[in-house]
Amino acid sequence: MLFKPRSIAVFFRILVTALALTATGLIVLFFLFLVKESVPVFQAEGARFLTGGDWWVGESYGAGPMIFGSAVVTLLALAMVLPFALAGAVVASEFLSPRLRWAMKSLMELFAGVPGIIYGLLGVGVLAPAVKDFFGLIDGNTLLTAALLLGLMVFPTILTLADDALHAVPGKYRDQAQGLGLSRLETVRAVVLPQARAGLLGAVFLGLGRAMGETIAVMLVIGGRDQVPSPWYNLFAPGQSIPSKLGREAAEAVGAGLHWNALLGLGLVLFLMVLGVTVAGQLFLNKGRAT
Amino acid sequence: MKRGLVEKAAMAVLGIMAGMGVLVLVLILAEVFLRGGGALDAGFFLEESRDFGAAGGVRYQITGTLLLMVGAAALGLPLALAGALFQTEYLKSPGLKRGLRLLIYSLNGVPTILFGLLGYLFFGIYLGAGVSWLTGVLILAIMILPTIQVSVQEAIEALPENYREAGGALGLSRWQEIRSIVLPHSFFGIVTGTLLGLARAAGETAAILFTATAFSGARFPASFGDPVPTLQTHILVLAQEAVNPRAIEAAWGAGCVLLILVFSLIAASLFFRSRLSMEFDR
Amino acid sequence: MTHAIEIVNARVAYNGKPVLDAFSTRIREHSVVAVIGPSGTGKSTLLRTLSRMNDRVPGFRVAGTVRIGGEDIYAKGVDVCRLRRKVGMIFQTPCMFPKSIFENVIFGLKHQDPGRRKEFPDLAEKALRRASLWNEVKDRMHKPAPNLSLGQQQRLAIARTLAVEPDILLLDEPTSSLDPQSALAIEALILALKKDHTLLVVTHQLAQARRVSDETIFMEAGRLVEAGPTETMFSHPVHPATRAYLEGARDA
Repeated sequence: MLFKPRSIAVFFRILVTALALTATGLIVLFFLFLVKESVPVFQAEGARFLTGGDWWVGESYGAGPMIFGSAVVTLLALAMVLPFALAGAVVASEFLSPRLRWAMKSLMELFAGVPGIIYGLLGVGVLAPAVKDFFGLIDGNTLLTAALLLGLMVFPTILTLADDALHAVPGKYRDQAQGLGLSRLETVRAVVLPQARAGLLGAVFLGLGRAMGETIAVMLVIGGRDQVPSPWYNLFAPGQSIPSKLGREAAEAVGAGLHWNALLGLGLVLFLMVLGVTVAGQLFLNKGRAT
Repeated sequence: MKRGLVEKAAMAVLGIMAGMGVLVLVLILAEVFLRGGGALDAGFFLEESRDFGAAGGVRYQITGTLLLMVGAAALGLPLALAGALFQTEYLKSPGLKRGLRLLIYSLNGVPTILFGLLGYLFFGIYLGAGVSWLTGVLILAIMILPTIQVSVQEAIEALPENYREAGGALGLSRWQEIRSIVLPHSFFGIVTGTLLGLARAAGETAAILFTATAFSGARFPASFGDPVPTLQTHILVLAQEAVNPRAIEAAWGAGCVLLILVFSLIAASLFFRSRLSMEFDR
Repeated sequence: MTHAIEIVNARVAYNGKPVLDAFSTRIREHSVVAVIGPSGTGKSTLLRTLSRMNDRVPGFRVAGTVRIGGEDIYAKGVDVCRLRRKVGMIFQTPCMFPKSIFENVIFGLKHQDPGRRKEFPDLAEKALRRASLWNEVKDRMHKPAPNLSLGQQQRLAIARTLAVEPDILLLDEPTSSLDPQSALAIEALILALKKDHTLLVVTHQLAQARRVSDETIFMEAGRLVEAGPTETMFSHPVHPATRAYLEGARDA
């Protein structure tokens, strides 16, 4: 034997600590890079980087349309899908037999893992043509199409997290409410939903975070135009989100120049948006679990 | 009874909405198999892609996807295991524990394109690995780290405290406790996490698009420095640019293969997780 | 002479709140000492302090001196694992690993002396005999341990501890989750083990304390109120609090 038992213990401890710190350190390093590399574009453009509407490589970098596109597409996706996902969660948690609930949750878990590229393919091949024909547009690649596709993508995630939140409400509250003569649905509304509020918010925020960062599927159907549509609420216009912009231009800009810095600046904005939403979601989920 | 009627109507609305959501998703995913199923024959798996995807199969795309995902898991698993053990077994400060935990859970939500950008900057440029499958593996390993670690950590934390106490009272050292109590009991959690990590790596496109892959000319890599073709990026390029109907069918076929791969991995993870929860129900 | 256990002015605090305070006592070798007192007075903490089981619980602080066999166990450089092999601990509810009976008996041994693998079957038999469980399990050594009855599991837990050859055994309410029959078996076991070991038993059953112990320690609110030979304490308690507790518990 190479090591005596005791030195194995010490060796193992050092190994585990070193590996854990390497991984954590690498991740922290990554995001220091992100900040460092995006400094030049903030120096060059100042606040206009966030608000400016023109992105011409080599001339000016304004991220306004991308920030707008990301916000509109994700919020719209969430607004469309939330009623369905919450209905699904209530049905699964409160009305399905344990067996059926398990089946439904497994199905959702399966769907939640479908790669973005598959949704992208479906978007190009099915959804965009459908939107085009249904609304009589010239081009089916619009903000609305991207939002619809995103909604489909986050439906299983939100449903399954919301179901967990509802299911975490102890059964004694339901018994109590039904003992007082409330119907099952009234019980849900009066007791279960309020108790599960933190967990439900967590589910919504995590879904939002996931939608915000999706790149490939959105990139294929959003249209790729770096402009805020006019009027701004015209959802049938093509647009651009931050991740789709990154996905399109990263390959050509890699490594050098202000263009690259501008893309990483966009990345930083996206990172902060997603981080805020995800941390909030996680804190809500923890709070929901604790009660 | 009016109240009963309202209740019934509301139930019906709920049921219909839930059913619609699930049904739309099922139908649209079934579309992948409807459109791509026809392309799947032996040649599709065994031949290499020719004529901009219009002829031949996706042999090297499959090997590329497998290579990236297995490499990422092989690298990510030890890191995740170490991370989970460090947090549950060695780290003492509760504040640090909570902080690291939040970090790992939040990392799970970081957009994958950012892993691509920063990973390329670090591994590809600073460390000189360039556009290669090695860069891809490194990036994906970090990307799936939280997925695996969360699963492993939850399994370890579910281990009842009295098992550890029984071990400690018999004079086991921390390392012996890990080896003979903690790891055997979290085995299914480790398997589940690894499978989920594999599934995530298999489907990932944005992070490897411009860091590890090439559309044409690449086959099985001859060295660490070569890029590979993958199913994901193959589908992407064809979906964006193909006009030949045969090439479009090939894209759907590749989609089928990818979806089957990912579904099998997740289904296996679900199976192992049900084994895990059964262990603790006893 | 050296005592098996010697505690001098120990103070144990959890998150700043004292659990044991100004606690001193000495315990002779080869004696059985019962620890009695109301719930939540630190009886379990006392046992856990003796084998440093609270080391991993954040927020615990131990001050004062605790000597086992003359050695200060909280001194720098003490090997906690070796200490715990010398000071075995039996919990209220036996915790079987989901493995065979044999694997459970040699669980601690295996990690202590992996080189003696060949002797394990003999050592397992010896430990099981001493825990008077051998006759009941000798034909199903490779069946899963969690299938045993709770009383058998508790004796298996004792056998598992005996296998690592401790000097001292700490038993934390070892019979409170068992049926009366199994409880009597454990009591008989305690008396038999006295020959080779020093035993400390926390119990809520005064009759049990009286049956098995040579000396008794009465605790209240983290302090030692009274200690002495069991018969004397039960027939002529000195301290009013002891008297009140013994009478109250007798009525209940």
